[in-house]
Amino acid sequence: MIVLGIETSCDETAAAVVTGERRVLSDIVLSQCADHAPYGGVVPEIAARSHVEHLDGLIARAMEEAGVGFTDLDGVAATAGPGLIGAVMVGLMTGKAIAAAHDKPLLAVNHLEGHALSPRLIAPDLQFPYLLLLVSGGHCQLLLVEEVDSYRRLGTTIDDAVGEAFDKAAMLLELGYPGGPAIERAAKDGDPTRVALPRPLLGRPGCDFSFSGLKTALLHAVQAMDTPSEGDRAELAASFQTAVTDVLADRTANAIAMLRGSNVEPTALVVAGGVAANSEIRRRIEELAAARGLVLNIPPPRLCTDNAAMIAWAGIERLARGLTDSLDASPRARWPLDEDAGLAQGAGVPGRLGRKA
Amino acid sequence: MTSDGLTLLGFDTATTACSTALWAGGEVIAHRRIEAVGRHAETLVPMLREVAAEGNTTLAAVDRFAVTVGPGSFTGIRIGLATARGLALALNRPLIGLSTLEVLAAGIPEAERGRPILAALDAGRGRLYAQLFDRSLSALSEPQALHVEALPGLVAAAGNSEPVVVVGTGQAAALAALAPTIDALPATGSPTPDARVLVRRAATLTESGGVEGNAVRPLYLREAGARPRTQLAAGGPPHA
Repeated sequence: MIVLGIETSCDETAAAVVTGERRVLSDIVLSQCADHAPYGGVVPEIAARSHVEHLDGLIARAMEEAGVGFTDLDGVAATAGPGLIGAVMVGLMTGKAIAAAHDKPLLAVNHLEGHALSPRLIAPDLQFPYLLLLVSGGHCQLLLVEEVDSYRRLGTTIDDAVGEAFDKAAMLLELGYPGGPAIERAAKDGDPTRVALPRPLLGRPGCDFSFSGLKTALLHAVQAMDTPSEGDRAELAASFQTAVTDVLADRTANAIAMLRGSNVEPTALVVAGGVAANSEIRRRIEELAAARGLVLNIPPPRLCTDNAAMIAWAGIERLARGLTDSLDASPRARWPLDEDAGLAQGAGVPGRLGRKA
Repeated sequence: MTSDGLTLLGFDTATTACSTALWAGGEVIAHRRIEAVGRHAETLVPMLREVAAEGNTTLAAVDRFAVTVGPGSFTGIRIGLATARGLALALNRPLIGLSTLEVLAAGIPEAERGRPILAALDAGRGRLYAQLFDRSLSALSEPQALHVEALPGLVAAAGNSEPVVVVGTGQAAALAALAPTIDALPATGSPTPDARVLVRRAATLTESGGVEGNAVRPLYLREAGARPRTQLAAGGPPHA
């Protein structure tokens, strides 16, 4: 089975060709990061314009590198949401066109399902159900992955996504964009205990997240210093990163306890999404998994950040189960994996990029 | 290749309508058009297959594709272009991109083509997308986005002193703006682009060799609208 994957839900334009035998024949990602850097965040219209400019050329390269023709494909998988709607449309329409041109099945893939199933692309033995901590620029969720197309949301953010919180913090500290890597770099030289920052929801029951109070506390801490020196900013960055990590570890521990309390034993703890690249977060989640006797699976960074290989793979998993989509499939800005979950309790105004899941 | 033997599938999603037409044997043999505000992404590809099927062909058997590249709704433009570029790539076929304004001008009935043609689309907030064409559809001005009041200037700058006919969703606003200084009449063509006109025009241009090498890129005519943070802080002008 050979599937072309297309991803355009945010600021990465990506195309990949993957086989049912878990061979990634090609995997190309074009980051628009530099285009958005002057704005301190992703500008939806700029993202959409860039996708339409580059996507067809990228797909042509992915097909060439894979050494396959369009007629060799068994399906075309394209992200259909959640994400920036104008951006999602570019990839979905291109995917529909290719599928229609050659009468191939279309897989309109949920971007979150792409992340959720990505560890199975590299770990053939990973069985359902597993616990997923999804941490990215647009998302922060704990999910039980029960099967392909079957998810139970245990917790989600009630305000900002974790990557968004990193971006905002980096902006406050004038560390540049994207914020995650910038904070991590600055934090290396900082004492994480010097600035007291809150840990929203820490110790409270449930698995939801909140980062907006933490961001405000950071703002006040910055304002309290006249002009923060480089050393001050390193300490603020380290304190912020540790606060975020504490919250992620606490909520993940709650999720494990909650599952075990209802007699569900996950086969593994999986961490996916771009924020999984943060080494402090990885270290703390490793400790947690070891303490709780859970196998930890963190896909390599290339598969954690937005990419099309995971979309192709989710397409393969869906195609294998007959879960194909018709050519009138809708692009969706908001598309929770667990449609029954509704909004998190206490959910406030969505972040700048809107509420997605 | 003559236009008689050419099979050409064209579509437009740049404004409120979603329309598709199939050109074969020197005429439009199948077409569909619906008002599809907010539904272009769902409607377009099934409609392409239906129109192809009605013409007893398949997408894979089409020789060329044609699409409107704007100006119009940014999202609508991208829905059409992403689909068109996907088809052209997957089937290795040439793609012809025409502006919505050219398609509007080409849609005016023969009998009303006695004057230069001003195509004008409503761009919201008192603005128009506009372009002036001569009787044979050669452009007399660049396509541009402008305030309604600037329209007489556009017509004058094109060196045109003749009476004009006006077509497009911006027709009423354009006629009102032109009335004091320029003799202008409404044309009866479709106020939004129509794929039947698009494929006819694309076939004509193909026959005359007028489309080879045309890069098929979006024609937004407006910036993305964001401001860099430094300018935000300074209250500077929108990013240009």
